[in-house]
Amino acid sequence: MGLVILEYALAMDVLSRYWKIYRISTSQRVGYEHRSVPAAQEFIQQIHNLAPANIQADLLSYFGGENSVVDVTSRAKAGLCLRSYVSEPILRACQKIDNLFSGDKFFTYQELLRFVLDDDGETLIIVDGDGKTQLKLDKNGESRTRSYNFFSLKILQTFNADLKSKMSLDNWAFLKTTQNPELKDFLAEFGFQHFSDWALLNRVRVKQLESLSKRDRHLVEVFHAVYRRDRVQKNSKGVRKCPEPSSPQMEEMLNELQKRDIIINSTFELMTELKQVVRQLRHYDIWSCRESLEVHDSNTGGYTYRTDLPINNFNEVDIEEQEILDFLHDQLSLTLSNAIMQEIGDRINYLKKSKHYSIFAEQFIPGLQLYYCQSLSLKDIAPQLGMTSWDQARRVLNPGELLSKIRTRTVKQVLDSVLSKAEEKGLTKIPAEPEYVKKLAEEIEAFADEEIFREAAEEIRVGKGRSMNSLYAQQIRKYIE
Amino acid sequence: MLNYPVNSNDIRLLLSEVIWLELEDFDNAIDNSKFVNSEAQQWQTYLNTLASIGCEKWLSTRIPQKVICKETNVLEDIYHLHLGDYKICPIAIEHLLDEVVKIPSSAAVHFYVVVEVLEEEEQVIIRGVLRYDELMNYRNQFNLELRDGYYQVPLSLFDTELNHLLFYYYFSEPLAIPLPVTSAQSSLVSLQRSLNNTITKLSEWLEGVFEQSWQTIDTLINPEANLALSTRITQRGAKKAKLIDLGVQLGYKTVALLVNITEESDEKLGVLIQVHPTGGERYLPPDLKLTLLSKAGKTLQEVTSRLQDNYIQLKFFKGESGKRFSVELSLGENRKVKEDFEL
Repeated sequence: MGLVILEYALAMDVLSRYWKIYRISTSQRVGYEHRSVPAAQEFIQQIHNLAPANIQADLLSYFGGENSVVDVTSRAKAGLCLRSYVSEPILRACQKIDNLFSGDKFFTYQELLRFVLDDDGETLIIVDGDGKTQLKLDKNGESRTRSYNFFSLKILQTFNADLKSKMSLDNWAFLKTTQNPELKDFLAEFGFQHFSDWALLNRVRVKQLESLSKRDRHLVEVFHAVYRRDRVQKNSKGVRKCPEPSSPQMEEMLNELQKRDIIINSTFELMTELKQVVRQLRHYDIWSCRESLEVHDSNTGGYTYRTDLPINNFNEVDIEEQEILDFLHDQLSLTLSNAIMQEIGDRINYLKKSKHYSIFAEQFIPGLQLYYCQSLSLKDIAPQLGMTSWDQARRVLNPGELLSKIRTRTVKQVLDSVLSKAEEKGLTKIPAEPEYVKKLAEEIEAFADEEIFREAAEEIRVGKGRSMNSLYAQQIRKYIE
Repeated sequence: MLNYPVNSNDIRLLLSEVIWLELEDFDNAIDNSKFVNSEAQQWQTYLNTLASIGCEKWLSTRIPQKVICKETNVLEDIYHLHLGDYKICPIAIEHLLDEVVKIPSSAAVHFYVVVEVLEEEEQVIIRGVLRYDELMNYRNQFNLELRDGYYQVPLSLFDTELNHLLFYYYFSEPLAIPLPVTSAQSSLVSLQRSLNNTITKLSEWLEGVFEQSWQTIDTLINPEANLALSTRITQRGAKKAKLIDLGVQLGYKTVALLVNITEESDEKLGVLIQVHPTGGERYLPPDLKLTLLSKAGKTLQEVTSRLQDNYIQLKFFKGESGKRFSVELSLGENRKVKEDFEL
């Protein structure tokens, strides 16, 4: 068994992106499904047999109807392949945006999907000669205008592969998704709802300042000078919410603004103007980067992807499949229950020693029971355990942290055994090179996440009406019941 | 062959490493930022402290058997955490929406950790880790240039799988990530040593012998801003001032400790000790305590600065040659600097 990390691409893996589509799905907990598109699969196999070299360029050429010999059905099917292909960067862009917002925000990426992941993966569609109109094909190959346009097709319609910038289709789809107007409107409304106006003003950085008008920049700078100073000078006294600026603070801001030749007559007017700035800040545009999606690679003279964007990953552990799968399976099931026991024990000990939460140490297991056996939300659990707030329940029970720590411990133990095995075979020394550790850990994480942790993480994120059915939840129940 | 796509950061979109901050953490951060003169920098120091606390908490729950040590570079406002022989630099950031992280080039550490500070929400989120060798590879590959002492790198360069930081600790070694030897670090050590271990012999001052760390007053204190100096201190005798970096935890040279020594008639030496603001500041930070301690550590005198004090001083005292005493400057519980003297 060679635990050697090799670089290779498996043709079918790459190709499957052209015939498996991410579709919105209300029946799935995660809000989407990944399903095969038979018509696309058939078509891609035909093309692949004809010209395996440059599938994407061929598909684009078919779809664009560049060759008049190509019939409309083939055009539409090539389109279907490309629509499947771009569904992945669309999904990733939504997840990425969700992640960037962080904190206790009021939306999840699932809510973004409906704006951009609206392709049904079935309807055969071509784009009219002008490149602007989407036409639906019926069974007889007749085309007619549609009233509703899929976003995936809008991406394809605007993509120009020949452009000098040579942006890849992946990145184009990613970029277009982040710039989708409906999605941006949604973010403007819900993205920063959990921030008070004043917290939002507080966290403006140089990059955002640059996109404000000169006058507004002064307003923000003066606000920072006064408000931030007072926030770090006042004793915390338990109130962390950013309060409305006081009248003396507003007066001081007015004076400072005057020194900058900005005359505002009253604190009332200043308040109105500050709120106006906040309204701008609630738009995602001001915060998001204008950094290019691809970076210039001086070695090759070409462009490489930024690493966070969807790419085909060719790094895999080359091993005899069954042997390593069995090995990892054994290791995983061995370690998971052990890790659960250890981490729950650690957590209770930690609570016992904690200054603020020691009184709740005994409540940890009952709390987990309510969470994992009765599927109650933390909000509902709090009063049952004699806690005063949701916040307290989150801090004490913290199911996300427990999951994260159990995952860490599990992966660590498997990694430990795999590394020992690798050392035995003379493949590495211990301590190992960091890059080797990283690559191996990534393999094990991919495996463990797929088998156990992804599902467990997703069920925690679901709000109302969740059920705890993951393998992880079952194991937890085994331990606490 | 495994059939799973290796996208290790996928799960990190769902499962982020949130650390809750408690009241005392904010108090600590507020204390720290009090030292800082410039208001803009004050906020950053406040965030840096919160980030550092969060990072420390995260590490100590993940590697409970190991003590995590904190250290701050005196010359820069940079926090380092020590995990065994690994050095970690937490980088505080208020939001990641512009997807750029600024890494101070002066901090050569094994790992940079991006820490998002959600101040109002009382949370910090550990966002990613970058190894020094990875940063250097990126710098060389893309000819990354320094801007105001910072490398601006895309957030995407950071590994979102924070477990890897722990795995490096468990399964690799610090030597596998070679760091340059920087002079800043050695000067940190020497400065700490001089603050901690040297006894200043004041009687030598009368003979014109001064240690390098003591300077003439004019070089440290803006005379115009401190008129009190010339009027209150007798012109006779040797007087020298020393920059005291409060707490060593912060790189801000905020106050000057001024010692004036005179020969008195009864073969004793007279000592006057004052603390002045520096760097053009008019006032001392409030609640700065100046304490005179006996050789055994007993408090003999103390004075605390109020809201707008230009300077504070201990009552003039006399002592015989050879007598030892210490002067302590403190701000809050955690920041204390002691100087030892011998008459």
